[in-house]
Amino acid sequence: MITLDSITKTYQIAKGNSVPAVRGVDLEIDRGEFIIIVGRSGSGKTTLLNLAAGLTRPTSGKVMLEGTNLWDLSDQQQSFLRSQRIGFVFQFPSLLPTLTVYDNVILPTIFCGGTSNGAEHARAAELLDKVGLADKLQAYPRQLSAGQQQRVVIARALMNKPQVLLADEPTSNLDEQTELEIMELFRDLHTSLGITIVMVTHTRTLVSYGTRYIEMANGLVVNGKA
Amino acid sequence: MNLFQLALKNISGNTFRSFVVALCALLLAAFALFTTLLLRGAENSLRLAIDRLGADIVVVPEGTEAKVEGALLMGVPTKVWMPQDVVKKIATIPGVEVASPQLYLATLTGASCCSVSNMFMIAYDPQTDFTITPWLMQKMGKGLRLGEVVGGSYIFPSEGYQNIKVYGYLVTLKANLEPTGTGLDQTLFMTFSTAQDVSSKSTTQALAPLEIPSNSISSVMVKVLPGSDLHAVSAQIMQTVPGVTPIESANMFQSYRKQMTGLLKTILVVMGIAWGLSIVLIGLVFSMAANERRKELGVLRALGATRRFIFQSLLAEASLMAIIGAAAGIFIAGLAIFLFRNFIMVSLGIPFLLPSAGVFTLWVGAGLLLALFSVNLAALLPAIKISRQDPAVAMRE
Amino acid sequence: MKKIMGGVFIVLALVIGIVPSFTDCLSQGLALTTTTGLTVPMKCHWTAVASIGVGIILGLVGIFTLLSKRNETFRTLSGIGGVSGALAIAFPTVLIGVCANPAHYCNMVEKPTLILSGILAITASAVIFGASRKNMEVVG
Repeated sequence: MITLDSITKTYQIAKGNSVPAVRGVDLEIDRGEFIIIVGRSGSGKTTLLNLAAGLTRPTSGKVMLEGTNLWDLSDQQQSFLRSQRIGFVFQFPSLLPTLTVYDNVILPTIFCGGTSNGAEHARAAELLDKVGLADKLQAYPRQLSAGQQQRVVIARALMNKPQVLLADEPTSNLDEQTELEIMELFRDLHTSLGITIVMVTHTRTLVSYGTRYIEMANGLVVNGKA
Repeated sequence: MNLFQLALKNISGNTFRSFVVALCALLLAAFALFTTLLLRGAENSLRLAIDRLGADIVVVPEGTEAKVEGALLMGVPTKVWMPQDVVKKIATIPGVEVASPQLYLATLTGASCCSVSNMFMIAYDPQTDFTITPWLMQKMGKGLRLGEVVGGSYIFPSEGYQNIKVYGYLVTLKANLEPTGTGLDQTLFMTFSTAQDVSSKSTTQALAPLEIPSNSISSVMVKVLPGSDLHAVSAQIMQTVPGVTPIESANMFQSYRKQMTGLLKTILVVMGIAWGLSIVLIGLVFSMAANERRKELGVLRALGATRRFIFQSLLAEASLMAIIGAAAGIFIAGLAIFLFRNFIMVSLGIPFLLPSAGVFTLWVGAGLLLALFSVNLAALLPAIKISRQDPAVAMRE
Repeated sequence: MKKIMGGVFIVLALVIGIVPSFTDCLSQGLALTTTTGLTVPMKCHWTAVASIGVGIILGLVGIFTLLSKRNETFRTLSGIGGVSGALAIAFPTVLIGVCANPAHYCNMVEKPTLILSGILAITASAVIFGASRKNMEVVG
C-alpha cells in the first residue's frame, strides 16, 4: 500500500551543518496492518511517518502510495490524495480552537470537494458516536479534556474514509488510563473497519497492540521486519 | 464549510490580532475618506459660490481682491469703495450685458444695537441685480421691500426674537438662501434703499453710525453678452476704467485655491506616510500571526489543504478584516464629517460643502478598495512564506 | 472583543460627560438676559448638564464590562449602554436641544459630539450583545 524505498531525510541546520534524520530506510506497509514504530526521541520515527504521508520531501529515495510516486505529483494532486487516502493523528493538540467539535471533524471534507451537508453531518455524528463523544458536537476544544480532544482528532482523521491512519505519538500527552482507552479505540477501529494503522510511539509496552513492530535508532531500522 | 466561513471563524477566534488589523484598515479608510471629502467639499463650495455670485466678472477697487474674496468666501466683513460712476463706464463697454453695483457693509462688533455681531452685509441695486432678484422672484414671487432682508443659510433671528436688529434698525428676514458652504451663508442681503435707510437712522439709533460714503460703491457684478470674449471685456474694463481690477469668475478665489493646493500636497504626504506605516504594521502583525499559527496551518496541510488553499485562506482573513475595519472607518469618518462640517469650515478657514449621495458612494467604494488593497499587500509576503513551508517542519516544536 | 468595547465605553463616557460642558454657549460667554436683567443659561447648557449623567452611567457600564465574565451580565450591560447612547443623541436633539443658530459653538461642536458618541455607544453595545450571544457555555 505505502512503500518507502531507500528513503533518506537530512535536515540542514546551518551552513555546512546537517542532521540525517532518516538514513536509507526501506519500509513496506501492507493493507490491513497495524504497525507500531518504536524508538527513542530523535530516532527518526516521526520523520519516517511524515515521509510516508508526503508531509516532507525526502532528500533521496521514493515514497510510493498505491504504486504512485508521491513526489511526481503536483501539490494539488498530492494534497487531494492525502485528504482521500490518509488520516493523521498528531502528538500535539491539533484541533482548531476557533471551530466546534463538529466543525473540526468535518474540516477534511473541504479539501476533497466536500459531500452534501446531510451526508457530512451523518458521517460526523456516526464517527463521534464511535469515539464516544456524540453529545459534544457543539463544544469547543477548550471545553474538552486531553483524552476527549484526541478522540475528536481520531474522528476527524476518519472523516474521509481513509485507507491508512498515521498516528504520531497519539498518547504521549495523556495519562496512563486515558492512554489505554485510546489504544483500545485504535484496536477497535483496526478490527471493525479493517483500516491500516501506522503508529509511532516511544512506549514499548504498546507494541502488543500492533500486528507488527519496527524499532528505529539513529535514523535506521534496528529491529523488526521492515 | 468553505474557505470564507473558515476565515471568519479564525478571525473571531483571535480578537486582539484581528482588532489591530481592522483598526489599521479603519484608520486608513477613515483618513482617506475624510481628506477626500474635505478637499472635494472645498472645491464644490468654491464652484457654488461662483455660481451664486452669478457674475462673469466682478470688478473691485484696485488692490482689494484678497479682501473681497475673503468676504465672499469666508464671510469676513470688508469695506472697500470706488466711485459710483464706474458702473456707467463699465455698462457702456462692448460685450457687457448688465453691470450691477453692490455695497459691502458690516454690522457692529459686540454692540447691543446689532443682534448679529460682525456680520457681512451686501446691499444690491434691485433695478440691475441679476443674482438675488431672480431667486427672490422664483421663491417669493416678489422682490424685497424697504426693511426686508434675505439671509444666507446661517442667518437666524436671535433666540426669542422675530426680527434682526442692525444698527438699532429692525429688519425682517424674508427667506434664507441655499447653503454654499462659504461666507455667503453668513451674509445679509438687502436693497440699496434699505441700506440707506439703516444708515440714515443709525445716527440716532445705533452706538455707531453705518457710514456709506456718498456716490460710492464696493463692487460691480458684470454679466457679459453670450458669445463675448471674457478676456477681451476684462481687458477693456482695465483700459477704460482706472483704479479697478476685474476678476473673471474662473480666476475667482485664487488665493484660496492656492491654499487648498498647498493643503492637498501636505495631506498627500501625510497620507503616504500613514499608508506606508500601516502596511508595515499590518505586515508585522500578519507575520507574527502566521508564525504563531504555523502548527495549525501545518495540520491543515496534513489534512489535505493545498499551498494555494493556505495562501487564499490567509488573504481571505486579511480581506475580511480589511472590509470590516474599512466599513467601520468609513462609517465613522462620514458621520463625523457630516456632523462637524460647520466646525471644520470655521476652524480650517476653508469653504466646505458635502458632495451629492452619488459622489459620496463613489468615494466610499474607493476607500473600501484602498483598505482591501493595502491589507492584502501587507499580508502577501507572510502568506506566501507560510504557505510554502514544509508541513512537517511547521508542525515541529 | 467585549473587553475592548468596555474600554470604548469608558472613552465615550469621558467624551459625553466632559466635552459638552466646555462647548456649550455658557462656556463661550453667551447667555440669555431676561427683561429683569437676570442672566440665564441657554438650553445647550442644560443639555451639557444632562450629558454628565449619561457619561457617569456609561462609564460604570464600561467598568463593569471590563470586570464581568458572564454572558448574561454582558447582555444586560449592553442594553444599558445602548440606552445611554440613545439618551446622548436624544438630549441635544429632541429632549432638551441646543441653540438654533448654526454659528453657535454648541451647534458646531457640542451637538455633533454627543450624536457621534451616542451612535458609537449604541454600536459598541450591539457588538457586545452579539459577542455574548455567540459564545454560549456548553453544559455537559
